[in-house]
Amino acid sequence: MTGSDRDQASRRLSRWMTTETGSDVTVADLDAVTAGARRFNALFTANTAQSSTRFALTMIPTASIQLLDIADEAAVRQLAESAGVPVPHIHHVCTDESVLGGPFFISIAVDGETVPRRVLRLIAEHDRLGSQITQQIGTALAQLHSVPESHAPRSLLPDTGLAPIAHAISQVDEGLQQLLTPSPAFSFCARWLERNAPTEPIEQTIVHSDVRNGNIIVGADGLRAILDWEGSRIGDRIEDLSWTTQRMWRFREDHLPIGGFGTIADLRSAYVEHGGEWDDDRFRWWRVLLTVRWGLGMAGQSRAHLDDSFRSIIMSASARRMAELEFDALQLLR
Amino acid sequence: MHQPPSAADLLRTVAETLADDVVPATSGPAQHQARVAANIASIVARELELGPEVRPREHDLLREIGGKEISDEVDLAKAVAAVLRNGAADSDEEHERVRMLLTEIVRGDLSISKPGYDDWDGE
Repeated sequence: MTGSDRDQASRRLSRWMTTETGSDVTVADLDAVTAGARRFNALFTANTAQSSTRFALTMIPTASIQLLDIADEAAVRQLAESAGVPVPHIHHVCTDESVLGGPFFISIAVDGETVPRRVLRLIAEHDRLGSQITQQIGTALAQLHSVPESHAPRSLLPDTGLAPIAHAISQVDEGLQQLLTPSPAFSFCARWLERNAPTEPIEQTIVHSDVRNGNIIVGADGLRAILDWEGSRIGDRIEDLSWTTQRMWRFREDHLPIGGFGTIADLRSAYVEHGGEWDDDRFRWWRVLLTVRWGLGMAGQSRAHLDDSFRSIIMSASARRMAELEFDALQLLR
Repeated sequence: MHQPPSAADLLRTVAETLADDVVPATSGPAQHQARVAANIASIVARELELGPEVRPREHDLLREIGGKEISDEVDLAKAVAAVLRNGAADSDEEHERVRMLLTEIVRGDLSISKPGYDDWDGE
């Protein structure tokens, strides 16, 4: 973001917050944190006559590619928060795209580490912190999954109308068909997934779908917040537990399967203790499914580069990473 | 015929320059892109050097699963993928035999795209 963009965004945000809150607000120190295709995240200070508060701004630059309507995303975060999940509290939601060029919400800024390698460094410096954070993630997921499905916005239901297991298998087959060159390894996995599919969950829940090292804020005192709720859906709760174990989120600390800092035993004990239902077979099945799905997603990123829909050097290289996921999936199928 | 350096040597030089000089001199998205560019140049260098051994080995391994009569490489992979999706390795015995063969194939790809990734064989 250039200086003049920043000044203009600060002025517009000041004006909008003044109208919204009914008292004079001046926005200062607006700094972009990440600027991706889907998300623009920034931190800023809102000064009033009485107070000075650090906020986080989350904006969708192009509303057409949002996964979830921003008001629905905010609603999910509020449901999670009221169930006890640590999330940065949302203060304002704006669906008027003319203010900043896209819909946005404003939440309280939470201090701490989010960059995975820094998270791992912090954990290495504190005895038992990794185990504590893993248990806090298990607790938070049990709390999220305790929210009655009927309270969630209807846009969280999959558009295929299929139940979660059938939906997930159909996505894998669709991904296989879209590959530009075949993957015998993933075809082998797809057959296993179909033959070993668990029954559809009796109760569906809100699934965050991306809880991992990289989407959490942590400090020396433990887990402070779970971020990035844009992928929330209604589905099978076990998916959330399995996703935390992806090898990619361990950053080479492979002996600790949860984000490179925790054990499955810690995740499980906290989840069960807070009322979550655990199922080993279902847990393993989702680990395989998510590994395959992520590998197919990598190939999809490179296709988006090749067909010019999202030209990017980072996306171009994604398909070369598929072999890592093929290896992981085959390891899980021993 | 060109004098050395080879195409792979040149790509390694590109990778070194990006990693040692461009990455430290940049920040934010540009730095990330330079890091990815260095990685891509290294992958392609390895692909040029190792590809001629890895690909034929991949085809031999695929033929141990199926499609023995097919000579075209993409058709071979397609045929093997199709029989596996349709249940050719459903029995416990075939599952493990085919899983090992597929793992060998993937190890070949990893030797190019991410050497060392297959050192760890836990879950």
